Amino acid sequence: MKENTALEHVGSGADRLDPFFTRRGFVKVSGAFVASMAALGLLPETAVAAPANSKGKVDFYATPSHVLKVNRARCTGCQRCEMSCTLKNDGTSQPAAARIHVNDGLNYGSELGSGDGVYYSMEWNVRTCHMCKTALCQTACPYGAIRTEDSGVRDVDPERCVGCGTCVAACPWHMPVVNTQTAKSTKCIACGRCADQCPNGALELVKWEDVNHSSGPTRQENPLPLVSEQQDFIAGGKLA
Amino acid sequence: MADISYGWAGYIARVNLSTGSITEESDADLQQNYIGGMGFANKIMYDEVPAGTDWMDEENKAVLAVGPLTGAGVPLAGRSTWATLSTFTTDHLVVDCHCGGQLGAKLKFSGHDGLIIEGKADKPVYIHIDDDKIAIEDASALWGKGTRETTEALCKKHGLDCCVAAIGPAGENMLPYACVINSRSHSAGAGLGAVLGSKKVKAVVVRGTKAVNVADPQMVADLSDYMIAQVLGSNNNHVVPSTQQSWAEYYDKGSRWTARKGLYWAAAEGGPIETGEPKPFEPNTMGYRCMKSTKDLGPEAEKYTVKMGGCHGCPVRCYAHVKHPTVLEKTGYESMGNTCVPNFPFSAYMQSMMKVPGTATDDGKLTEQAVIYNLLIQATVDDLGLWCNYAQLYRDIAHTYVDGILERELGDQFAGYEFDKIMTGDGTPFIKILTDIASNDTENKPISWLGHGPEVWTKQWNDESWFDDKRSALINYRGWPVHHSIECFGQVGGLYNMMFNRDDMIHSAVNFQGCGLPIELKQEMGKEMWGEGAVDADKNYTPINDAKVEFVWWSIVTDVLHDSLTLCNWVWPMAMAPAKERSYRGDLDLEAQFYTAVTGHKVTIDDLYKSAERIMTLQRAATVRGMRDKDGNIGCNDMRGVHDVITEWVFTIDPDIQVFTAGTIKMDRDDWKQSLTMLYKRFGWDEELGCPTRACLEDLDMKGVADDLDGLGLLGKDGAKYDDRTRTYDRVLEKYCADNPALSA
Repeated sequence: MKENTALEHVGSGADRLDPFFTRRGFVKVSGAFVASMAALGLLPETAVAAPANSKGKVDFYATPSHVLKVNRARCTGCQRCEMSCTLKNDGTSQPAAARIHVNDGLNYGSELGSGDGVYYSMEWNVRTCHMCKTALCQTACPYGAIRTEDSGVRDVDPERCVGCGTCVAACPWHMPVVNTQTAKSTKCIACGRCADQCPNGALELVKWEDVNHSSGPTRQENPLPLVSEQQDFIAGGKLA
Repeated sequence: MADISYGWAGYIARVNLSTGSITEESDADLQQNYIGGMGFANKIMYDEVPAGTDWMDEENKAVLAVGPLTGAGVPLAGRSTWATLSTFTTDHLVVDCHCGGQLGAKLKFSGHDGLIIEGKADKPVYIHIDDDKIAIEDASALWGKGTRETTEALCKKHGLDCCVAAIGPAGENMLPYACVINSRSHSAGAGLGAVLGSKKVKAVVVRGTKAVNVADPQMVADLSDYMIAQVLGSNNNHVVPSTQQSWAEYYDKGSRWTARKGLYWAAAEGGPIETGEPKPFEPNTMGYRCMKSTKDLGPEAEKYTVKMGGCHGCPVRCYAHVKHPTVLEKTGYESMGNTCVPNFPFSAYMQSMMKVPGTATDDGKLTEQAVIYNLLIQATVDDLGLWCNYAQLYRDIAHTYVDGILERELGDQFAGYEFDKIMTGDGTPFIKILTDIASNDTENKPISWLGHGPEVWTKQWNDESWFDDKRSALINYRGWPVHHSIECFGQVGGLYNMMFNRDDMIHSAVNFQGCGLPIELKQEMGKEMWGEGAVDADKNYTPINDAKVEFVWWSIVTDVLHDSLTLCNWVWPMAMAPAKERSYRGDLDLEAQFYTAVTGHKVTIDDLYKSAERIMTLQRAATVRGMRDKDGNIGCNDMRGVHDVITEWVFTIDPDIQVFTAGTIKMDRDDWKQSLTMLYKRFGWDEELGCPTRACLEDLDMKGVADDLDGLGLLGKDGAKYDDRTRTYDRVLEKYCADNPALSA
């Protein structure tokens, strides 16, 4: 049999955003600044690709150092990634505040009717930060609370974050979450702890690549009809 | 700022369906002595549900609880325990109903260590927990629906990230065998579904976004890494592969470490995924070790295997996820899979009696027909919310069919169940058989008597000798079957099968038995943990001795401990390990180290074993208080004569083989009496009666229970304090555990 290789899902998909996001505008505004900073050696070599903040605070360009690669066919839904993430980054176990999301799709996939989840295809999405070149979470934050680390990875400054949720709304994949208890946003910092703890190697922290072409499936092409809408199942007594 | 509660959420929710009152109460006073899970649930049942209450009475409660380790990041901490009154074993005494899936973790993340459901609603309701918000909602539109449709409708309404634990038609109809299903196929059995049905509770819906606070998160991470790398094996903690592999010193064909080169999740999205040869010290291949679909359903199931799955937080993925076109066509459901009886109801429990042609090949391999039969039953029972008394339902259906009882008792209806079709390759009639059983309409569909358990139906149909038939696998006259019994180290398994008011669900001993290491090594390891002579070779048992009694005691207290913490006793305790580097020794201190790291309270494993013994003894006291004596009076402390009565077949099987010789699992009557005496003594109970004593109860901080039993004239004599009875387990395997981060901290 052929080994499963088709589903590796890497990268941001951020290029698709270009038509509606004014990336070039940013380049015009801040390109000279960035070039001079780079020339002075004040920016990492990776700081070349994308605008990294709104409000003019950190107007340089950086590509993140790492990104998570996902193969959802290998994910068995244990959610150790979510607990491991928050144990490391928050000191608690709190899947709902994790920077990787499995539990919200485990039952029914990305939405009811997607044909996914343990009740249907037994596939679900492992949602990870896309590490965009153009990080809308960051550019949208009205408080400049999403910083760019030396690694090029963005993280949340809890001192500045007010938990307004703008980053959640701005991210096309709604990856950041506002912790319901601390009222602070969280986002992936590519620490790799989730991948360390994945018992199926469904996650891998790889060097960042701008790969937008290899996204795997995120729902079924021909989903089965919903049980709750087509009531001829066992307990309805009509089949068999 | 209030003190932070580490491990425990700190609160238990109480929902009274009669009054509509919803409250929360602190569990701080219960934590140290009763841990959580089974301990909390049994304590609440003892304190609040009086002796003599029947399971369908308004006064009965259903108590769900989790423990300090649930959802805290500890491996295999995704389980939960309910306690309520038994619906199908004698006298309807307190039982535990365990389940995995997502329910326990979600409850913890909602900020609750427990949920007490009390009273009765007058119309169908469901309980909705969304963090701090708890509500009783109208479930009229859901009544009559299967568990899948119920779950879907409630997730649609309240969020796809909810966990729904639902009853199906079986529970609504108050069939004694009804269960509660969460996450498609995770079942809390022992009749819990009927209890919820009697209260008109269709479902419990839980959504949780809160944190489990952890005192030392780095230590939890370090202990997890250490455990997963070198201590943890596969399902049932089997620690050698099932086939010869170049990296492995041993292999054993019975092992549940079934991954191998050339064995695939063949229906995986995007193409087959090979299970391969996952090895120790490879944390990222752990989840491939247990290939459960082909293990349970036979080689034909490979092509239907999408992946494995399992409970929250567990790296051992023991749950099959399979899809089969015929099952989809017949039932409407594509996704299937389980890890326990519903994965092999036909092939493991019915076929030996029914002998349906075409189920297995000449060399014993299960066929495509076996896959379909098993999955058809599985799809049906999980949707109906029907649990089987650990396979008793299937043995009973097979027996009553092949021995002519159904034909005799069902009259004209018998033909309608189309057993002739089942016998000739079409398993579809199982759907009607099981659906009619779930109807609980004993008047119009008498086959549903089978869902009342053997204690009831054998009387109804004059077949009480079934208990004494080895084929029944019934181990106790109060109505439950073997759950790893005398075939598991002789008296060791036999004794722990007597302990509860249902099948025991203890895996501490059977995991060790099946782990795959050679018997000589297991005997050496057994000597280190329980004493010389604890471990006999399979089917070659020896008379009882102190070490075996220690092994039984340890098996019971570890099981109770895990059901309280909550950890999965289907894999824990870590008595053995796959790493040759540690001489295959496990690490018995891990529960205590995780407890310390999570809660911040420093304990040893001996402290936790003592708490587990307290919980076991409390349930024993509850049983004494509620059990009827031979004259029918409530309150009876003759546990030996009335409760711990093993079925006759264990003494009469293999008439041509002498007891305690190779080739038989037969027990000896005098040795069995002696075994009970020694176990009672080990627990500090009355050596003759087997009931708790003042000495043991007061030493376990249960003076009030001692006074209760004393007042009823039910207290046993003598007994002894814990410290005068126990051996020390703290760091017993330390010399093999050099990499344990807590020992070097």
